[in-house]
Amino acid sequence: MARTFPTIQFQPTSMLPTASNGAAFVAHTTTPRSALAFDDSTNESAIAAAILPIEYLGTGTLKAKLFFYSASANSGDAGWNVQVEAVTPGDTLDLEAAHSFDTANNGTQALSGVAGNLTDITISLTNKDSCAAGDLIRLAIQRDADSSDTASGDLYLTLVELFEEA
Amino acid sequence: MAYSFNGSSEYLDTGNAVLSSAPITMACWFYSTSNSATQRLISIGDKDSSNDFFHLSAMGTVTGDPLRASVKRGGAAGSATTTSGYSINTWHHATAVFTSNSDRDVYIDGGSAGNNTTAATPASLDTTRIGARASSGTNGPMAGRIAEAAIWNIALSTSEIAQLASGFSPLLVRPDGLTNYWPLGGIARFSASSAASDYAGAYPLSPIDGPTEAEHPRIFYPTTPIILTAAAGHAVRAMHHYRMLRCS
Repeated sequence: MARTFPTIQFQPTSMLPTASNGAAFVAHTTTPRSALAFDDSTNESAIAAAILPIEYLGTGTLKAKLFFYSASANSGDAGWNVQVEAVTPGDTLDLEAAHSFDTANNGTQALSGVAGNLTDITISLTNKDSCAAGDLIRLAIQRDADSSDTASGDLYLTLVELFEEA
Repeated sequence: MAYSFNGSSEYLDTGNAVLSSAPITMACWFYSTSNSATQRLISIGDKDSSNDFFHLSAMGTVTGDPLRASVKRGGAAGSATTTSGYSINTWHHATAVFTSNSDRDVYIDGGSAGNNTTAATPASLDTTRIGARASSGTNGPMAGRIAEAAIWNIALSTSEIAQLASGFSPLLVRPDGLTNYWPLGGIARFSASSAASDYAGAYPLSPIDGPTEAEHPRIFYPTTPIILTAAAGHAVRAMHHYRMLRCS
């Protein structure tokens, strides 16, 4: 499947934890590597934002690929939700006080079998808030700790890719 | 580059009280060269007296060299003290959380928390200093370096304090409550005009008696998303974009 527009990569330090139930920044000093830690008992979230590139067609499938690893779990499923918000200049939305996130898109992925090993999951963003090229787009990334997720301990999110496949 | 202070006369001063009541969180990195002096890291107080203040201090004069979060209003004063202390010639992270007029906590390197609940409500606050107490005269001058000083108008949680102590920039930790952020170097290129700029508020610091530049601690700063093209040669674009980020 061909990607139709430039991939956007979000490193941990380009995302912001939500003020309430936010994921936490962690630094593994020996590697060194940074990540966002998501708890196994609370649905914690972080937000990524960008402008949707002008090459975005809207005719393919918008996808988010999450790269993560577990702090301690060797088994179980990681459950993730990704919500999309798209705002076009001129839209009636008070960005200081409100948001317009679409319904969550979900996915689960079995852990790799060894704590610390990289795992990825690709989630199709079918609920994408009618986004269009040039929109200010935000992703709300949440660990679905109270529902589909069965892994114990923190999950560390180290990169998120956003792209469209034809 | 951090700011380095001589332990006698050098400090930074805003000339304004950036906040005047709890909740307040103060945090910074410090590298002290003295374990025999009281050193004020961040202080909000009354420049005309020593009766009113909030401050965060490294207590080289106290056994174990702990940190303290202190308040004073006339004869009413209270201090929270960490359960472990700092080592000289080492970078440490310091945080004071003034949750209310009768509840304050202090942390070193994200832990060893101490708490105090004495009631005291500082008043007449009119200045904020880095590297000395905000009061009349020069009290508690810093001997060593201070970097990444920041103030929030909320009480940060222990998890948020741990993130700061892991080296994440204040810009990444509850930016909704961040009222003042003085990198003192780091992302702010060190110059007379920029290093003491306030990156979150409107209170730049004025150097008093000429503190100098020094080595900065390692900090994770915010980054912008990286854009890769889908076509061949995308790595070139990525590297180009990366350089742009590094140079901006």
